[in-house]
Amino acid sequence: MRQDISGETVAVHLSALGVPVVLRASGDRSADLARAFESAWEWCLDGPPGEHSDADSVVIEAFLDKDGEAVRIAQGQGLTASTSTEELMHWLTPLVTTRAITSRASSLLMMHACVVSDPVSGASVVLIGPSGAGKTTLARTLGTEFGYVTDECAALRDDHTIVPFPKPLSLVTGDAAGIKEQVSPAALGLRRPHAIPRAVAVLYLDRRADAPASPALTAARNVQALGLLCPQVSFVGARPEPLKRIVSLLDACGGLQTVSYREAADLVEIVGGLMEDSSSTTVPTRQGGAS
Amino acid sequence: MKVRRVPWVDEHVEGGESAVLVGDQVFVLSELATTILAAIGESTVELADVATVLGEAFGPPPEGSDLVAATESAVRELSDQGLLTYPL
Repeated sequence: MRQDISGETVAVHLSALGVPVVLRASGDRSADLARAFESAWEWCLDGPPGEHSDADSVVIEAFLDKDGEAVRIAQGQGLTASTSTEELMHWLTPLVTTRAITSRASSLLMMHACVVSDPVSGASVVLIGPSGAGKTTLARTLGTEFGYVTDECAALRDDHTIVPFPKPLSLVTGDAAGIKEQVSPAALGLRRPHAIPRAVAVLYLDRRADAPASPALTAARNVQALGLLCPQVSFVGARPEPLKRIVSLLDACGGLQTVSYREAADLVEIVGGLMEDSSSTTVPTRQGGAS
Repeated sequence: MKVRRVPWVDEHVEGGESAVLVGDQVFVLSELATTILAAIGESTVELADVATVLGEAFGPPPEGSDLVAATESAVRELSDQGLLTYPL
């Protein structure tokens, strides 16, 4: 949702992890920035409402201008500023993500993870790993088969449902400066889930060239799992009893499994199988119809 | 000499082993280390008392080694890792 504040400043509103975020774009190319931001964050423009009050809103000031001197002045004033839309978008994605995660530190269990879900049932597989483990590549591949929930942050409530965070995917373009292109999930042909995502399996990613041709799953004991997962949890000590919350999640999902694999496409079958397994073990419930 | 645990955020014990969160760092501990932490609990404890608990749990140390000395070695290792304060 876009709102003109003045001739030069444009506001774009979105929901990141349930946190209202306002991008205030200024500079002589503010409209270009607002348009690019709106397009890349398309699936977050009408995100889950009602989990946060307006008092918790995050405001991000960004400045896009043709004049390099004006940009330097804006940077001196603390604004995220550039003469390049691509560069600014590259900076804004982690900025929005970090601010949203920080805002939800006391209310959600958040882990570095890609999440995909069955678009109809909501059964979701959480694929956890540090930077470089292949989360974005997995999201891009698995998100065309299943529903794309996030490529960055699995945000879990205590009932193991997940707050979707379908942010743009940051794609390597070969740019010498390391600028990654911010692409909306829709532009990549990813599927949008229509059910509330709920974790049914938790995998720890171990991508390596010498992995078996057919991906191998190895179960981890909960104590070992905590050693793997805690470094991937944002603000791990921000809530009471974090280890017990993680163990509760693992117990509900059949424990942590490490998956050794080579290519993202190798995981399609395994991930689909985990979603199916969860639906086959769910006891159907009958609604309504008094007998 | 006495020993005590540093404040911890949370811990999970399963199958004799444990994971302990101190600050934002997690430690995965063996049965021996888990038993030492359990023996200390939230108190300040004499090293000899910890040794007694270890002796009861794991039996006497190998021939030629001393139970209290072996306990002190393990306690110092956990202290170096930042899980215990020793000596007090």
